[in-house]
Amino acid sequence: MATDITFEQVNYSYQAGTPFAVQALKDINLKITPGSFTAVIGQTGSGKSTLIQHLNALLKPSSGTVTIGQRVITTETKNKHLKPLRKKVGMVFQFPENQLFEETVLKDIAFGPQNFGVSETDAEVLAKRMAGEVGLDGSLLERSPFDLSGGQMRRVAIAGVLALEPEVLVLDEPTAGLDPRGRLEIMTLVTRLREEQGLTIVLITHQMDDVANYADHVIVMGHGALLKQGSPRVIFSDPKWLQEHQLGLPSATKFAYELQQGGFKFDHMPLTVTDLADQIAPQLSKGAHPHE
Amino acid sequence: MAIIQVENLNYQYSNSDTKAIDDVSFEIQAGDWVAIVGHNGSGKSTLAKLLIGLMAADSGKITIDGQVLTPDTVWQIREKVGMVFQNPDNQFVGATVADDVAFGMENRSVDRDTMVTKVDYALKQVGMLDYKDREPANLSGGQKQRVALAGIIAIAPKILILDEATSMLDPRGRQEILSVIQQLKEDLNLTVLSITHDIDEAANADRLVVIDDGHFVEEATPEELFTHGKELVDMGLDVPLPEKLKDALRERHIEVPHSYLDEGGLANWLRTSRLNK
Amino acid sequence: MNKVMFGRFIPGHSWVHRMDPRAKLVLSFLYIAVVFFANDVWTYAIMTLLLLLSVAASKIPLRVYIRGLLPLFWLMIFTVLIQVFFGAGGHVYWQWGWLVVSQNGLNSAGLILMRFVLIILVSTILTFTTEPLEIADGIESLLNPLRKLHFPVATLALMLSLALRFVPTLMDEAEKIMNAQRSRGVDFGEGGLRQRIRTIVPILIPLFVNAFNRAVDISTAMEARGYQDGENRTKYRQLKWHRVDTASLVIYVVSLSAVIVLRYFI
Repeated sequence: MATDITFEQVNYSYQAGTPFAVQALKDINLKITPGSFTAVIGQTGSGKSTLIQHLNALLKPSSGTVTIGQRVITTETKNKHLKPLRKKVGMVFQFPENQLFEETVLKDIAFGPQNFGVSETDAEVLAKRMAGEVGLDGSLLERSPFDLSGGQMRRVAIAGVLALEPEVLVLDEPTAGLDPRGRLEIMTLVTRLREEQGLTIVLITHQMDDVANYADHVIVMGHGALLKQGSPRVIFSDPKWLQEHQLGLPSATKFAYELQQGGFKFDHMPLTVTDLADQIAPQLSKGAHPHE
Repeated sequence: MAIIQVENLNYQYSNSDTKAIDDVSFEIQAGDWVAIVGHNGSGKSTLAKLLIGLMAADSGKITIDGQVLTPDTVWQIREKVGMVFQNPDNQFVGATVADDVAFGMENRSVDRDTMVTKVDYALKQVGMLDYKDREPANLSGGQKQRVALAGIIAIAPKILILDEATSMLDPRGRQEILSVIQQLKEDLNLTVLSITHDIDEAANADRLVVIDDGHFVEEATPEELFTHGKELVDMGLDVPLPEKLKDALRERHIEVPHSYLDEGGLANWLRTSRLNK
Repeated sequence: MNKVMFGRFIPGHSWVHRMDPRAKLVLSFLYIAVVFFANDVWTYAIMTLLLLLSVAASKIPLRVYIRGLLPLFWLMIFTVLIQVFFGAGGHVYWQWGWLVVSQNGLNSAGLILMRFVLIILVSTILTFTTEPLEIADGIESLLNPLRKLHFPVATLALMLSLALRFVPTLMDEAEKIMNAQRSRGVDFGEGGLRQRIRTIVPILIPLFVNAFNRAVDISTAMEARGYQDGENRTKYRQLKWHRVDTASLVIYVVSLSAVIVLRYFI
């Protein structure tokens, strides 16, 4: 039942076999375990987007194998039999509101399941449930998706992917262009989906605070190669290496390094504000906490 | 001297029941950097478009650099204002980098020799001279926004309006654009009006104007506003790290200063309060 | 996408690449016009020679041009067959019912094929060596005299240049939308015609909506940057007529005149 995804020696070239060939992925080995929250970080153009398109077989490796659940995908795999994978691995692209097309919000959310043989009535029941899941008001369901605000359109698009009832949810910068409140709402939704429905999450992001707050596994991409992978604590324990690869630190971690220079001691570098406060509170002088 | 004056401005979209801008008044002094903040849909971008007559207000008065905005003065006012929008692709009209920088000058009938000099000069200022003949398809979002800024340098306006100009960029692109803008403001003695959700961009401003549901809510310095803590999220801003940490320390019964401290300030305060073991 | 060579620009620094787009446009048109005067071995020999000379001057291998012809292969076969069967007169080689293969038919088929190939090749030289934008500039410059008749030449040119500018952006967007819909279970290129038409809707509607929103943004940005009307603007891009252009013009005019002279006076 549980779908895990494994990459073994995956290479991918755009326009393979032509003089214009560009190698976008180089020898990628990784594993995404069921129920995990994986963050993929790396600069623009590092191969993140190419990588995630292998997760639901939109792209097939030029060499090497991608295993999604029971299915093994190689360069020879025929396109015909890949469709069931798209239901298992839901994909929310960047600015997903750009994929909306139906007359009503309800129909748009119900579009995906019907492509997998779900009847219209069943798909609409599913769509109503998913609309509730992403926090869309019921009164919006019969409206045209193009009349909604940007944030609402994005929720419709996410609901449309959730309606496929995937086991793995891949999100490419789902908060890009939203205001802080919108960003927080989307990230809260993603966490809830994982906790309540046991969804496996793969998130591409530039927000190191999100990586620190939500992920349990981090993949760092650079120039098409997998540079490093591990827990956020491992990844953020080497600020010099991150800087060399033009990646930042979570704001709490960055601040902690600054405090370290000022004499504060940390048994591990804190990733979140809570962790930071826990560690520095005992080190502050009595005069600073008169409530005791 | 106030370079931008807005008095009792009102605007309502024809397909909406409520006003997008409801009786808003404020002033911006020449040489200031003012950020307009507010959550999405609060009317910020509408305000920016009204300021240079891209939409006409229902009522109220806008005065830019001593000129009242009317259909007769709108083109003269636009001469004085450079504007950078949110989507890097949708404002890049030239076929190449150099063509795009020249676009604003072509509209102002600048002669060709001057254009050639100014295009090179402006591109140098934003560090994009090596990309002069590139096509936009081969540029990153941050590079396109730098080209947009070069287009503004070339026409040397008095006022720069940034309409969420960094919101679609990655952190690196955002940082690059912010430092270019800071440099420009100094060099050209610009007045900057930035509409933003970005806490770093807001922190750069001299003053913040908070707008909510088309209403003017308050005007404050970043230091004053940032002490609002969690309420900042409702104003379309993130809570700055020092405020988050102060909150967390308060929960742990540690008395922390009420006034706003930036990261350096808080680090200093923490250092002096540290137990010497 | 990359299999189609026809109409594609190939960067380079050859004689032809360096030419003024106006010269290339004018010479291509002249050439195409004179092709229709060629009627025998000698005139066609001159035309072919001139073309091969131009191909050589473009420093792009002939086989790349031939590959550019391939997509039009069936159209050429079809045209030739029509000419063969319906061009009547002269010695009859073969007949079956109303289908006749005659000397005249074969002759005119040969002529048509030759013309076809020459015209396509000469236009391919133009597109291989000239950026679309330069072609737009060239057209604008050549249409300039129409300004006197209040024809909006500059506006038209700006429209053309904007359209060219956004082709890659829209192609990119189409690909993203296709990927998104594929992820929602759409099968492209499968099933019957009706099924295929149905799968186009989820691409076309978002593409159209996005393009429309983009257009609104672009026009706002243009207006904010001081764009009022197309005609009273100065131009940053300028075309320069070089010696290569004059030289090419002389070569073409002499050769093409030779064809006319051979046709009518000898």
